[in-house]
Amino acid sequence: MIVSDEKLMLECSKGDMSAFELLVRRYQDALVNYINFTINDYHRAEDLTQETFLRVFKSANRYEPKSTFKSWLYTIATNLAKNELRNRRRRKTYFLEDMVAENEDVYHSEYMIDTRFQPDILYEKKEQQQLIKKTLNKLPENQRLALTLVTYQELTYEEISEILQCSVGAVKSLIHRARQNMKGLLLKAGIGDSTNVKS
Amino acid sequence: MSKVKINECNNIQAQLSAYYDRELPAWKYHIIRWHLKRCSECNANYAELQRTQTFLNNVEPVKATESLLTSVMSSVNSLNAVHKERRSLVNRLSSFVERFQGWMRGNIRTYNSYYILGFFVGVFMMIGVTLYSPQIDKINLLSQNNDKSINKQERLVAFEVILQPEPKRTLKIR
Ligand SMILES: [Zn+2]
Repeated sequence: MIVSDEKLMLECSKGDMSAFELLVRRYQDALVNYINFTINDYHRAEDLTQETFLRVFKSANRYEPKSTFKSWLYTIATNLAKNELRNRRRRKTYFLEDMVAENEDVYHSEYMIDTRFQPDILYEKKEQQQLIKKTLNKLPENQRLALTLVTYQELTYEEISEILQCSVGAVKSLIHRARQNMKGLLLKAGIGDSTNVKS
Repeated sequence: MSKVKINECNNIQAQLSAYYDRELPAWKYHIIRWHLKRCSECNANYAELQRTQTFLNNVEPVKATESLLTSVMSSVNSLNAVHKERRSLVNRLSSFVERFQGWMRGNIRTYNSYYILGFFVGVFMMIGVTLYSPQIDKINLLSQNNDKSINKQERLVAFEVILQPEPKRTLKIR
């Protein structure tokens, strides 16, 4: 029998550390993945995941199960990720990773056109994934968040509306616009046409 | 293509994303499904959306490192230790306050009237002192007046001490 997140959280607020550990185990991968998609920096994503769990633990006794635990958890993570992006903009730090990715972009589109060059399929797939991630990062912040939450975290529009603090209608239009933009950006990156789908 | 049809298609296409995520009420869902079967344009649009989504779905998720769990649990445990210490300090303080309250309650029960009387006298005195504080100016004035009256008395006494005038005639006794 699977114990619900909310019940585990209540146990945790009574001081049950094993309940908390179970929650961390349940969500650590998903959170790292989500934050990594949002800020595009794996190591910082791990730091922020840890920070998210610490905040969850600190406010465990204030937790009220009026919304799902999942949306509460993702609200904390989203706020931390948004802060990170804001700080980054303020510092105007250019990450080496971004610069490398920028070069990759040119390189990639060059050999996408060059049909003589046929690299290993696995490598190509990985390459394509990098490019998709990079493209996702070009979306406006809220569109990216909404699309990531619905695609990789399998949250409902209502849960996303709680996390992003907007109406369900706004979430609907954010995701719609995000997919429209993604379509255009992927085409521009050279992977949007139907011949290139690799699964 | 008629204007009505274009409008209808625009409407449908705006809903396709929510349709894909199954975030529509059943009746809308069926309307769109039915429309997609008939309308090649909207159907192509939906196929494109599915393709875009397939690209996104193909991105493999990253995983947390092995050390994350240990790291989270150790920092949470140290946080917990600090909390416990703080809680024990608060507990000690509150138990002291409780004991004091118990002592007070016991005493009040035993020496009911004395304590309550003493307490109220104290409170009334404090209120009295605050509301009707003795005015120092008035006291000074009073003492000055006293000084003046003393002077008057002194003058009066001095007046009485005036020497008797010598008699103009003397009675001679033979
Ligand atoms: Zn149509």
